[in-house]
Amino acid sequence: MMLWRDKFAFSSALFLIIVTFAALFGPSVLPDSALNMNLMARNAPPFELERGWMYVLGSDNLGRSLLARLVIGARYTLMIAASAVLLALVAGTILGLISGYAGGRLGNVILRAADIVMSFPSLLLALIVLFVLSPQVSNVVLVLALSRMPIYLRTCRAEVLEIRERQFVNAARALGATHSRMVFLHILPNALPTLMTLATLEFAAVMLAESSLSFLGLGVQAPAVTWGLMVADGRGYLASAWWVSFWPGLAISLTAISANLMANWLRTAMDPAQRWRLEGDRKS
Amino acid sequence: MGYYFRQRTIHSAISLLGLVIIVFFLARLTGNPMDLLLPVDTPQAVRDEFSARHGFDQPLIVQFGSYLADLARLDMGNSLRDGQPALDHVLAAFPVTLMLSFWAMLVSLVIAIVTGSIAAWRPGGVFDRVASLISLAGASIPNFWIAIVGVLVFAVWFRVLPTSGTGTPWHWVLPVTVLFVRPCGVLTQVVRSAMIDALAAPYTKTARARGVTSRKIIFGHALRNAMLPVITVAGDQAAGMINGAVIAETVFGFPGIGKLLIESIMFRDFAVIQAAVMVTAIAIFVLNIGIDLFYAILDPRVRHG
Amino acid sequence: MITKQTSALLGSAAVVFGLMASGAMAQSDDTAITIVTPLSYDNIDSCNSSADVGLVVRENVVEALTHLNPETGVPEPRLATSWEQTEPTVWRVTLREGVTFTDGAPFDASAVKRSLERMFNPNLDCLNRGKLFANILLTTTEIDSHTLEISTENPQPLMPIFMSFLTIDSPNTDFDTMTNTPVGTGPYMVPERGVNDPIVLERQDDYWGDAPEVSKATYVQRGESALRAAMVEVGEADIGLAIAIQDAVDPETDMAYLNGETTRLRFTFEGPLADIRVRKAMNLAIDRTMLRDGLFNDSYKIATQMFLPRISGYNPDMEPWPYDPEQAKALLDEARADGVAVDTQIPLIARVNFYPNGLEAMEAMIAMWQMVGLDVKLQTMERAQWLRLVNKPFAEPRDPMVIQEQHDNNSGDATFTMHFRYHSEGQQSEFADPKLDELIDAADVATGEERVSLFQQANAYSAEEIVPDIMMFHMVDYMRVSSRLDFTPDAVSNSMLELASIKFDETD
Repeated sequence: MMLWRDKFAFSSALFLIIVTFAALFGPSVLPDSALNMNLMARNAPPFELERGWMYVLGSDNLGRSLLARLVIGARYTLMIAASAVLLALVAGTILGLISGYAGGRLGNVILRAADIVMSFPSLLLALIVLFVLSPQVSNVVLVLALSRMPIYLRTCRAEVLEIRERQFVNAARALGATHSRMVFLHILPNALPTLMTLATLEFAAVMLAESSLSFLGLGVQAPAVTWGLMVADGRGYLASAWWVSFWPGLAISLTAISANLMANWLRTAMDPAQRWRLEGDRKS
Repeated sequence: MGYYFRQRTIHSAISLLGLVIIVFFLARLTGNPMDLLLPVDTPQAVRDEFSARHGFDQPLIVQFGSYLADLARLDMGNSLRDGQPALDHVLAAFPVTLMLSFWAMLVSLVIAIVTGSIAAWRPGGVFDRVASLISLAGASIPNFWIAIVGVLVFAVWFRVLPTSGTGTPWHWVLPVTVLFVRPCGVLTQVVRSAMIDALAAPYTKTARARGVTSRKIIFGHALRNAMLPVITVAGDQAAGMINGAVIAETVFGFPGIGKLLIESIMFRDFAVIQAAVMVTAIAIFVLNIGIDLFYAILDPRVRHG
Repeated sequence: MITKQTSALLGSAAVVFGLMASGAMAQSDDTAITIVTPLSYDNIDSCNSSADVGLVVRENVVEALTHLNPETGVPEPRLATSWEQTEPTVWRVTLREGVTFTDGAPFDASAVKRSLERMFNPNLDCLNRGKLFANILLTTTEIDSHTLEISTENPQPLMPIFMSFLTIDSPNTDFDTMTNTPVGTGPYMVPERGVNDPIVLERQDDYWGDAPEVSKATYVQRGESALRAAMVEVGEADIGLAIAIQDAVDPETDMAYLNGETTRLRFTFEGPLADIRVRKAMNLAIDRTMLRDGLFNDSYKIATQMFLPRISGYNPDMEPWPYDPEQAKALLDEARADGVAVDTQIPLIARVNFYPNGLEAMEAMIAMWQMVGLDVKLQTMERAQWLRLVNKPFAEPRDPMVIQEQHDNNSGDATFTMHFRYHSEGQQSEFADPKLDELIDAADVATGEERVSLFQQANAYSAEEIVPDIMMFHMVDYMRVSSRLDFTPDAVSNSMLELASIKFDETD
């Protein structure tokens, strides 16, 4: 109900649902011929229906339907972004909890390690992974997760430090709560909203980082396809066939915008002090 | 204060040492640069001879030892590509990236603070909606795409800007644009939400009740209080600028550290990679310490934290 | 208040825009040119002139003893005026008189001797030595001031060709370190520059030959083809190298030329690929005309062998593989019936950013193989990783693979290709065939007509009886040349771009 009031947030939610559906079920719905190349229909312009509706968005430099590739790309793109965000979130939160709650020497070691990762160029990391391991989707996820992890770690730690000093936590401690009880019942639930908002924001950042890797030739490799790779491959045709890189670029941007709008909405919705903003009559 | 500063410096030094070790060994996992330097059809014996001349036939730990020994004498080794000292390359490139980042950050901050503050004045209003959408869009476009489209539109169609390279201030417009768009989008969001909080705080309400002008409330009272989160995020964005700089400098042929870094990585020019990572890391550490100091000035509580 | 601020903002935006529009760039000197390249040239020392940097320095800054005619591949005089083989292992070379280096040192036999000795200096990473003289030691003896003898351990019938790579630098050049400001006898000199500055060549006044028209050339690097094309279009650069096909849209300025490269896919002789029927079927399943017209264009030539017709040893009688999917299927069925594991997945190893549309071509070929029932899977590698895979010693066990390759023989003789790829001892050979070894060995020591004929036989025999590869195309590059220049690129432009051959268009 609250979501319906905010038209922007509602459209973003709708868009994200559509994209998720396309990623989950799209590839199995597509006709088998959808990904065939057709060298005679290279760079076919969009909005021409004589080649069939699969070509409504035009075709790429191998004459493959851009629509079909966007759908296949959605699966890889979302999978990579979601896995990287989830991995970074879980690892960063655990390490952040340890470093914030336990503190001391271990906490310091973790913080220094995070500093190192943050000052380590993610491109160098990507090249090493690509070279030493193989350029698989899972390794790209690993690189992205590793380079984004310190953000969660630092946010989580800051939250923990702040929550630890609150009244109710002190009270619980005084009452003799065990460490695991303290962490999982009192601290984590209070830190989670911030972390979830951060993760939604990061989703967009990770998609963009993935496309930068593709631009430099360090990202996902064909035949796997992501929107980022499609933008990167199509950039050579920007002057002659803009649609090749425009549609996947638009898909990235719209998804990122939607994720950001959702994050804003979530942040407001989860914060009691601001919830009034979402409820009809605004006062200023 | 002095104690805090000393602690931070020690911590940074430890991190730096860890970074040096990791970069040294990880870089060498990516293969022997002589494979890349020499043509495909070079006989193995010649490859071996070239490798031996640069000490790449030694065990890694021996190579690391001599690297540390050189480092202690502030010698970061020579570039494999042209034999010049690696540090010279990095120090020549660093100011370019610094200037690029400085301007990008300045433009982002100014735009973000002005737009974000106005948007926060009436959350949900027309200006807020439009500004939010534009800033979000800005934060969501792949930057290499902005770069190439920027060249096509401004340099080829309208011919108002040079395509690339350095020389006049006009050459800086497109690279700075590519770099500032994303941080600006993110910062606008942060300024907006921090300002909403600050404007809802009791002291602004009192000021409003006292009849203080809107402009004074926004830019005088509220903004100062909203600065803490803005500075934090701005710091993170500034530290992350090296990745954006790689793209902008690669496309526009800017002789900065991002371009140097990616080229050295591609050529496995270890000495330059190490020197570039180290100088970048030092800059980021200095930046972080600076932000912490700024914090301490703005918010006395942090000093004891 | 908001409107006031908005209008102020709009106003300042308008001012900025107005300033931008007036910020036109002035073309300074009209005989200075800018060349925009995809690569950066790092070490332009004279002893690297056979590598990429040859494009900048060779014949512009440092000149070689001979010069290969770009059309016929025949060596012509440059710093050497004549040469003769006095013994099988000795060549006597007469040098040009009245030539000085740009630093004033005289060009004579002792300068040549020192320059060659410097190339063999084990303290230097000289790519010329690595590439051409790894197994050939040149010993020089001065006869008089302008005559010398170059001797080798084994007979070297190709010495005049090798001499086209022997660029001579000044005797004042440091013997034990590489230099970024090489000094030669050429029409241009390299001024001092900062570590990250672009390379600039300036015309010198005392050149022994005709003075070139271009007074100054600046080499800048841009990675994106679209940007290189745009720079020439808007007048920021005069020559753009390696323009992608899709950017080469203006027939007035964009020139296609065979760049000397030939592409193929190499078979490893393992698993199903050990069977010649499978190798033949994979060739028959490729529609090369369709591939060319779809992804490239008809400036590209369908190749039958690994080098261009101008290379001596090229066999003009060989025919490209026909496109015959039915026969391919039949051969595969036959092999399958004999127990060959035709249905195992075969990896196709492609290299990232190899040549324009390279990955697309690989994907198209995989689709063509799919139609005859072969399961080929694309695997991409970065350069260093790929190099490790293609060069001996191969890792054991070697998998069945098809490997994307590109080869550039710009030397004029078949041996540089044949020995290396098809002889059992070759660094990149996957097989051993005694008869082919015999043909190549015989050709290596032969001269004249006999040499040509033996290499032609070896080429035909390999293609028909062994089928070691899938030949693709003789590749094309596009160069965008500003309309103010009068210049046409040729087959050697990618390894040597003589500024002296660039004229200004008078009619413009």
